[in-house]
Amino acid sequence: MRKLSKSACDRVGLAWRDELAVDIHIHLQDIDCLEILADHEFRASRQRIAALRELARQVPLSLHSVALGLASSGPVDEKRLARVAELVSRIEPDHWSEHLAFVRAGGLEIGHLAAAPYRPETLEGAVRNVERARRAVGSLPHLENIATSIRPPGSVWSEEQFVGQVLHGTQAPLLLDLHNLYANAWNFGRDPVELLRALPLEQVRSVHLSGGCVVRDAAGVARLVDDHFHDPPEVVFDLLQVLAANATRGLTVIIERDGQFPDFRAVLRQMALARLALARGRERQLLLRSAAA
Amino acid sequence: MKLFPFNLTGPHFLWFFIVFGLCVVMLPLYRRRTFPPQDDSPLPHLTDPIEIATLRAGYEEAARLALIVLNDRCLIKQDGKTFRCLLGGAGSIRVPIELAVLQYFERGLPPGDLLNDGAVGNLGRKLESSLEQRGLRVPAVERAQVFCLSLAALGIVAGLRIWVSGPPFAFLLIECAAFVVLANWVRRQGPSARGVRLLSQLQALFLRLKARANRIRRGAGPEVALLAAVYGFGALPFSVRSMLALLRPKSNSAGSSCGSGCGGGCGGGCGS
Repeated sequence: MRKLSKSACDRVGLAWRDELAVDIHIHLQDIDCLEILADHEFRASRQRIAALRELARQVPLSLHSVALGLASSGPVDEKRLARVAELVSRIEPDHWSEHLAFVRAGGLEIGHLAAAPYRPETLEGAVRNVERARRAVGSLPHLENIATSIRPPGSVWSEEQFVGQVLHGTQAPLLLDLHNLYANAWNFGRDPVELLRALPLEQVRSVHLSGGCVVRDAAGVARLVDDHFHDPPEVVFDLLQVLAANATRGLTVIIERDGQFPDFRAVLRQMALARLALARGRERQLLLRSAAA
Repeated sequence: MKLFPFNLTGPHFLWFFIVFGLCVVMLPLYRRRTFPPQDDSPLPHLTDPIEIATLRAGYEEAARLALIVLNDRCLIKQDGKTFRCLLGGAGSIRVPIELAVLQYFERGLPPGDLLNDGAVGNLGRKLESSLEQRGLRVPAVERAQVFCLSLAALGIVAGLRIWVSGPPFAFLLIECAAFVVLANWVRRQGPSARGVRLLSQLQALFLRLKARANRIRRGAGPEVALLAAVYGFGALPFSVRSMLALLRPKSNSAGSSCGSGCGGGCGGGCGS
């Protein structure tokens, strides 16, 4: 039996990476949910798609897309969107997700998830793109906040205002990447808990946990980079606890790792920490509710 | 009446017998692997490499994999034509068939008889039975029945031909012998349609693991076991051929090496 968090609706799982695949397969009974990268499966064989669909029957699976470029005044790449739609229809995941990021302009790929200017034109474009994506795929994507080390030029709103307005305009669920949020708070000298509370937490359905490292840019300024090569820091689990105490819906928590893969026991420990944070947060929510009643 | 098989001339009857034999021997395998058609029912989740190896090629393959896994964990070491075991290694083993294989070599028995060992066989048959209950393998009895029916059909047709036409029938007997070998191979193909589907999905799921197999080193544990279980021992980045060759029954090598090698050697060298 899977060890569910205290709230039966909360799930803790992992992002499928080939380096972790064997251990994920062997320990699947300890993993509540999985996330696969859509962009890695665009050219998947019929057998692989069948295998992923079978996996989606055994454990809730989310399909994570990384390069649609929803947060843009320009239209989303239709070919890529059609591929995502096809994957969703064939694999039948629990849900799909995409970043609220800017990835191309004028046919040129940036090769990076960039923050678009937080202004009305981007908001309108993002709402249009999310609607296009909903029509093509058949369901709304969970929209993920991204990490940025600069405030996008031309912005008239803060990040949380922009994200809040996109979510309001699209009614899409939020995939809250807590390390991205923490990195942005760290880079701009803000309180991460305050930044968290400024987001529409009632729309959070899924969560990403990852790690990063501090690097210095050419000017010698220290920046926290979300590289997915390190363990999630303790503060990320603290943020998860705060989120669980405030979120009104069940959370699907995914731990992401893209390199420097640790022993799988360490990954399982991180999952246990996430479950503990969720359980503590939910307990706190119950206490607050009973006190209010 | 000219098309009646028993009226055909010698070479034409031999061609007819080849087609007939292929149909009789191969159709049951085709049916076994495709029936029920369009089956999209959920498959069980097999996590244990030993179970996956059993599904792919029977309990003998599971015993071979157990040996490779034990060697990968350095609990068993090849020493010439036999295997030496690490003293006390049994404590760290949780998989019953791995333990049975280790205990077999701890007793100083010859590698060539491993697959005939009672304990290994019993555990292996339990594994096969568990897979049969889940509809992933076709029971051995059922396969044996099909084998016998195939041979009976071939035998009746060949016998009638000989009875009707008389000698020469040497080529017909050679064809019969070839079909017996083929039918025996078909008998050993255990996976059912669901089992074949599960195996092909596992192979698709771990294709990238296979692609980077040359970066997998000895001692990688689960990766080595799963790679061998899903794709066979040929997918491993290092050769295990010499070890597996020792498991083939060889009266001269097995008999002579055991007495001197195993009994005294176990517990000596692994890990060093």
